Amino acid sequence: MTEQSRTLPELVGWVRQEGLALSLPNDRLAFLIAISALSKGDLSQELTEAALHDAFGYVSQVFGQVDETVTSRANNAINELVRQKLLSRFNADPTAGESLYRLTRLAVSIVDFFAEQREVSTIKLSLLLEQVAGELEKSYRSALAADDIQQWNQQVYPRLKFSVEEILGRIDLTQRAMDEQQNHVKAQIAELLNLNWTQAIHSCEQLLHETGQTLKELQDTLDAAGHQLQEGLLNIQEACQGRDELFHVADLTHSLQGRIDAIISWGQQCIELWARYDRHVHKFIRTAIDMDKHRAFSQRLRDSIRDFDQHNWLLRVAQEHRLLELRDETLALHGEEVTGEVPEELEYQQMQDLGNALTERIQAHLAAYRDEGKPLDLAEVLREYLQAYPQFQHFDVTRMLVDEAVRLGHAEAELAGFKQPKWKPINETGAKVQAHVIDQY
Amino acid sequence: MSLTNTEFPMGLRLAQAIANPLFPKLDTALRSGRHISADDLDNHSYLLEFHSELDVFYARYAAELIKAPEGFFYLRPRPSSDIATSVLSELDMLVGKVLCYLYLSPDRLANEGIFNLADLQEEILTLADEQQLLRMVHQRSGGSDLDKRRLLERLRTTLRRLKRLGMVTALGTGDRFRINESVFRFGADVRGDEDPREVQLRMIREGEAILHDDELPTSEHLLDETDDEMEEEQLGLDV
Repeated sequence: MTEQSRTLPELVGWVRQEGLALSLPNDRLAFLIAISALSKGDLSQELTEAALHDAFGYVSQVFGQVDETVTSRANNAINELVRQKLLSRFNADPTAGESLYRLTRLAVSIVDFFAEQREVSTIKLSLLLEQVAGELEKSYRSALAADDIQQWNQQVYPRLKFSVEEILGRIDLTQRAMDEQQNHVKAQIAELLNLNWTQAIHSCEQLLHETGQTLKELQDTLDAAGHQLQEGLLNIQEACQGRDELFHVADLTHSLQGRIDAIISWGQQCIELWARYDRHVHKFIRTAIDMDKHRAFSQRLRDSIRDFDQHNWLLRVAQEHRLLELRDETLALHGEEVTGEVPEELEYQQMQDLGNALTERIQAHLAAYRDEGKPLDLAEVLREYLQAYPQFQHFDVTRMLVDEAVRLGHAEAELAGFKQPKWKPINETGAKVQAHVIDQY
Repeated sequence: MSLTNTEFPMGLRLAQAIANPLFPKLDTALRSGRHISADDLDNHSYLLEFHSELDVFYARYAAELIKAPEGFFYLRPRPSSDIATSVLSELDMLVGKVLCYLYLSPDRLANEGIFNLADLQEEILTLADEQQLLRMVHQRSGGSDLDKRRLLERLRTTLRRLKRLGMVTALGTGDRFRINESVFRFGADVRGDEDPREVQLRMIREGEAILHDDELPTSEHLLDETDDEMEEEQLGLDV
């Protein structure tokens, strides 16, 4: 499985399944670095078990651990490093049971990270960039000369994949080392200022300037070479254009282009970030140091925070009552320029108005019965009347009509105590009404 | 003589100052207690230019437009003033002092003067006495997790208030902020090497501060205060 073909969940699952873990407490790391220091003197870089025990003994002494158990603890430590893939064990002579050890790639990088001061210089960077350019040039030439896919696969692709990519990786590492150096300088500046406020200013400025300068030089080198590199990659891309079988080569050149771009743009960003930091430190020096020449103020402030229970004053600030101006907004919302003129049909009508209008109509309709003295059979009247209205209004209209009708008079039958009248249907959907006929007005 | 008729017409410079489009917003900000520091470029340079005229203007409200030695401006109403004042709480004062200390601390240079609430909380807990802090939040605080959460909540409220006062400037949407010079007001009592008591007395005389007595705040008073804060938050008014 190659790196690209693994998705994130696969990777995570794989680490979990394999139970990969690294744990290096202080003394173990010291042991690892001691091993590395010992093996450096030896050209063969092989380590015997005795040498490892020596290293462990020394570390153990420095850490003030008990002497008696040193052998077993050393064995434990060695086994642990082997298990964590930091040491490789080789059985040189199976009969004697003696083993040889070598630091693994991982261990070398770890030691490298902590112990080696990585050199960041433009010369190194230029050399690396030159190498990349040379490799690209060679790949291009082989690409032009290549007749078949076989030659591409042997001459061009490996060179791009193993050589160019590797060197770019190293350039990338150089940049990362530069990031670290910046953080280091930042810490240094803070420390300097902490130690001696005013005298530190000069050294701070120098540090700031130097780092900024280094960054700029590195970037200039990168910029200058970057263009050439991109051109080389483009040439190769052109050479494999239109040939489907060379897709993997084209793909690789694209990813290399992306990498070069990323390296250059990160460099650019670094410069910007550093410039911002630089400005900030200068402002700090201008303001903070100016306000507090001997750091006495800071100290007093600190004391006053610690003894805050003796603090006995509170700051007064202006705080005018806020005005809540709602009127303007209300007016603005109702202004004609906001709503415009409403068409007649959309004009808002109140429920009340509608009801009144209907009631009036019903009154007029019922008035005829009273004037002529006809008996008013509610069920009959309703059945006729409701025909003019859609069904969903029937209930409301009926309510109004009944209200109006009982206002006109009452039923003789009801007063006389006749039995309940029959239910009579009033519309097609089965609504019924039970009422005496109104005949007394 | 009618009050609307004045013998002395408004000075040309003052008229110019008031006619400036910056004036209405700035005036409101100052009256609501905002401090204008040099980072607020437009407003600050405007105040620099018209300081004496505006000082006369605010004198009519019995308030002074103060330019602090550190260069920031703020309004200081006298007790008789028409412009109301409010008093910062004890926790506000403590946080203010810590902010002032942070402003001067070189340890924090690496993040370019940008802090977040967590930094502040950490600093406060290292610098101040935790028990006392918790007492400020709750009289009978036992230091439980709930109390600590409450403390964080109160710190957030305080920071919001200080933001409104222009002591810190919020950055982005998160909890990050930058400290302005105006926090020096919190360090005023220990600014010089005079006796802090003298300075405090002077500040109280000048109307910069009021005397705070531990015995005074009753629970009622505290309740009022929290109500106030709640109201401010609910309205969500950010000046």
